[in-house]
Amino acid sequence: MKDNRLLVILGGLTAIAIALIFLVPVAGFIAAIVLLAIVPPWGRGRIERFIISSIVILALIAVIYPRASSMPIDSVTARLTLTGILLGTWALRLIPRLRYVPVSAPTLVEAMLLGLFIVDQHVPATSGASFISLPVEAAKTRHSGRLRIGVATPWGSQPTGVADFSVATISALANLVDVTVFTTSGGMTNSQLTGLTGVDIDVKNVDELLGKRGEHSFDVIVVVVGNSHFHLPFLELTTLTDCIVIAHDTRMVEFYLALRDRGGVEQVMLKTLDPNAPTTISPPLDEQIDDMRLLQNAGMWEVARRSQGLVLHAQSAAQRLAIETGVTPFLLPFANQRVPASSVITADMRSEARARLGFDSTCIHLASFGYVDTRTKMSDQVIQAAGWLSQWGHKVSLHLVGSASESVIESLSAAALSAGIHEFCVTGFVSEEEFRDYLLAVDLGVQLRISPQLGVSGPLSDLAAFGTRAVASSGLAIDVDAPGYIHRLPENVSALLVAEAIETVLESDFDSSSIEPERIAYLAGKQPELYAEKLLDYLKTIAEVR
Amino acid sequence: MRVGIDIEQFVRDPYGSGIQRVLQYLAIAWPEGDVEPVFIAPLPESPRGEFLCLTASQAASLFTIPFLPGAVDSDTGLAVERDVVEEVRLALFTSGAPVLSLSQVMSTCHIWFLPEVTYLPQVLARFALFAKAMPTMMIGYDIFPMTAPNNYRFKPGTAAEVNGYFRALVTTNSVVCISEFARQSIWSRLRRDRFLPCTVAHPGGDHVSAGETGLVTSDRASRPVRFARLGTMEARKHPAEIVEAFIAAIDSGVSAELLFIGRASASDSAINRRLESAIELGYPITWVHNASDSQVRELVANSDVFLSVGVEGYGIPVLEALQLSTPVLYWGEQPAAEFMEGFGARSLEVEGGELHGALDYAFSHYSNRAHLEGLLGEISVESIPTWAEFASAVERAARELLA
Repeated sequence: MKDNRLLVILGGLTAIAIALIFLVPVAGFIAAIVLLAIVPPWGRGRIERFIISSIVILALIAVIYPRASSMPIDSVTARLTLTGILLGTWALRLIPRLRYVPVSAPTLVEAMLLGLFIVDQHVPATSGASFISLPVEAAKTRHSGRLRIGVATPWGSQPTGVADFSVATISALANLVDVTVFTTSGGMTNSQLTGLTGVDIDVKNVDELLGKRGEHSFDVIVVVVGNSHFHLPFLELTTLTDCIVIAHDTRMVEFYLALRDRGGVEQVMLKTLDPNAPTTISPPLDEQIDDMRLLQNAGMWEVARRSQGLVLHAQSAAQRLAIETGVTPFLLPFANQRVPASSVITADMRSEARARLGFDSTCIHLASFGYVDTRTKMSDQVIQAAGWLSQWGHKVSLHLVGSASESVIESLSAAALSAGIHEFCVTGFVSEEEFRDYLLAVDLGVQLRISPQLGVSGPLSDLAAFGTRAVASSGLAIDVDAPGYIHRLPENVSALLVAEAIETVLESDFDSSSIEPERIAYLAGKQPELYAEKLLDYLKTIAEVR
Repeated sequence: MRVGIDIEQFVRDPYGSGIQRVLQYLAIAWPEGDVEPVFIAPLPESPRGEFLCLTASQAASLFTIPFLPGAVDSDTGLAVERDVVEEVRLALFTSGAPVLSLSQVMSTCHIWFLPEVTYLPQVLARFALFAKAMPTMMIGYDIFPMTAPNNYRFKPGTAAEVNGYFRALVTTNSVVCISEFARQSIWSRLRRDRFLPCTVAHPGGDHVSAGETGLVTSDRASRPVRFARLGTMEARKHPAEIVEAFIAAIDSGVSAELLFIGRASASDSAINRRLESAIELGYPITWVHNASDSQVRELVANSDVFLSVGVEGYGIPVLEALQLSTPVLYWGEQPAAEFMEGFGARSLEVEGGELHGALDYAFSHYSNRAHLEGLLGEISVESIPTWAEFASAVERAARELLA
């Protein structure tokens, strides 16, 4: 066809493909692939033409969406890009010398290849086709008519507060909907906390979902994301399937630093919609990592943009994340993850816990709970605060209830010795019973964060639940909605101010029974069941959209 | 009797602060007598960890280095960037001071004296070591890093050193405080035993020659009143509030100029941005970042009012301004200015009340030259504390420690 009819026909096919891209995306995508093997004026045959088209597309995408680009890749921009490419390839034929490059009829082999491709896209996972051979969650029938939710999360006995929180809240969710938990091998073992929930949940290895490239038949997938290695497979899942993300941490920079090294994390940190954000990494990344107050970007771009919805517990960080990512988080008040075994906390229960832990009754027992970290949790400032109290004549026993590296334990022990603290210990990861004993036994908890942007503190919520007084950075107290017996410290705090606050709290008249009503009210408002209900309401809105 | 004075902090970071002015004049003005100061600095690159023992005159030369004016590029007219740390290192090498081991230093000193704020672990460890062998003394400056931490940003992981310094202020045998305010803070907040020696000696202002009139340009009387404010842009010194009040005054028709002399804030970039944006908007505000000592004097001498606002441990610049015949308006905790009240310094708190009202009052009232006359007439250079008095008080504290 050496006249304009070829141009018109190809133009018509291009227009149809573009329409399909917007109306029936899968069909439009297949049509686009076919056209990219036919329309462009390059290559000697269709295969060669398709290969060259693929290279051109990759180059265009690299230009349009560099890794540090703030341009989002979503269904709209993807469609517009494909439309542009189709129009561009057709438009090349408007150049007179390229107009008559021939188009030949497809061969049988090509038609079969395309057929196979279509089958791959459309045959359900249950089909048993050789290339989709993994066991099938999707085959599970919707026997109850309830929502079916898959939750990918650290779980069970994994040594992270996120696992404890998920056990408490997702177990409550399982009373309302059908829940299947997907976790890593470390989370397949039940913890003592899991046993306390009294709910039997189907727990599977997250590999099942990853192996199926995220394909599933759940109404909603929820992925619990945090800034530690526990979350690597879960984060990968967010790249494979639509999901709701529950972000436990409000930054991901250390995660990406470990995963992608400096260049990778810097690229994520430069992705932002904040018009006032710097366009380079400044101050240098090391300084920002060492001192989180300097963090120019939380590194939440990918997590937020890939999610169908972002659930956050930390209201202190919500605005920042919204500005940086353009995704307004759904704020869900933090739930209490560790409900005391008894509805009433008595002085006898505290005495018994002290006896079990072998506490010296002549000391003031202070404790800071959670992973020991000087960089973000100011563990060294806690020691120095205890040091000031010791200098002022108090006999202090300081317990850091959490795990720490050997080098950290060594340096903190030396600092405690130098500060003149009577007793100091880093307990390491402790059992559930021992953790609860510490919550009951100590005179005061000390929970600090160097910045209010660094996420919630489960242990602070635990202290509140057990009616144990504490001093805490105000951002943490706000994020767990701490009751009045949790003393709020300024965000910028010195060890001296912490020590003064501790002394003031300890010397104030205090009858533990007087806070019981407040404690009970706090617990009632922070029940995992309430959290689960609110989460479910939110998930339903997503499921309806789906 | 020999007082060993640890100057490693200066050697590591000779940035010409008010505290280092104290060091400089301890060396210059230390009184003759049987209490001999020996300034101890680590010998640079010493494989055996040896120390240089400088005499007062050798140390005085060393401490003067950061205050010297830098060279000026003859082509561009701009100051050539200096490497003061290197200059100090070279000066130490060429000082000719005897080199001693730490044990020799310990055996020849009777008192160990830490004159500067330091968080260097090796200095604090040395102080703790000497404290076991002999009496120790320190100069007590402010304790703001402990009581007003929002003005400071210590690197995470340095809590042991930062708190270690302030705890040493509690346990050392004698403290010479630069103001009554500093002494009260150390007593009431750090809870130093009140029975332990803790005296007050005011640093001097006579390192600036009284009325260096050669610095003053002839247009001073013909231009709008210029308010000068000196110091790093720390929140505790309220630079942003000063800018806001000044903008409001200008917008309401006041004719005045505002001069900021000092480095940008390291802990609060919003303050820097606020100042920069006011300048960009065309308000008569000037910000001089890296002025040398002599430039600062010239700028202050050519100002009509010196503003000192916020919380200071002492406030040597107030004394410098008065030496240069520039009257001082102050607000907040200002020990040096309070000491000079009625002698050229006037409290805005008395005249204007709270910060905002005080600054409004300062800019509207004192932008009228006629209102400045009375204040100018009050300046009494004779009332400004001297370095000789300060050094004598320190020497006396050392003597009493050994008595």
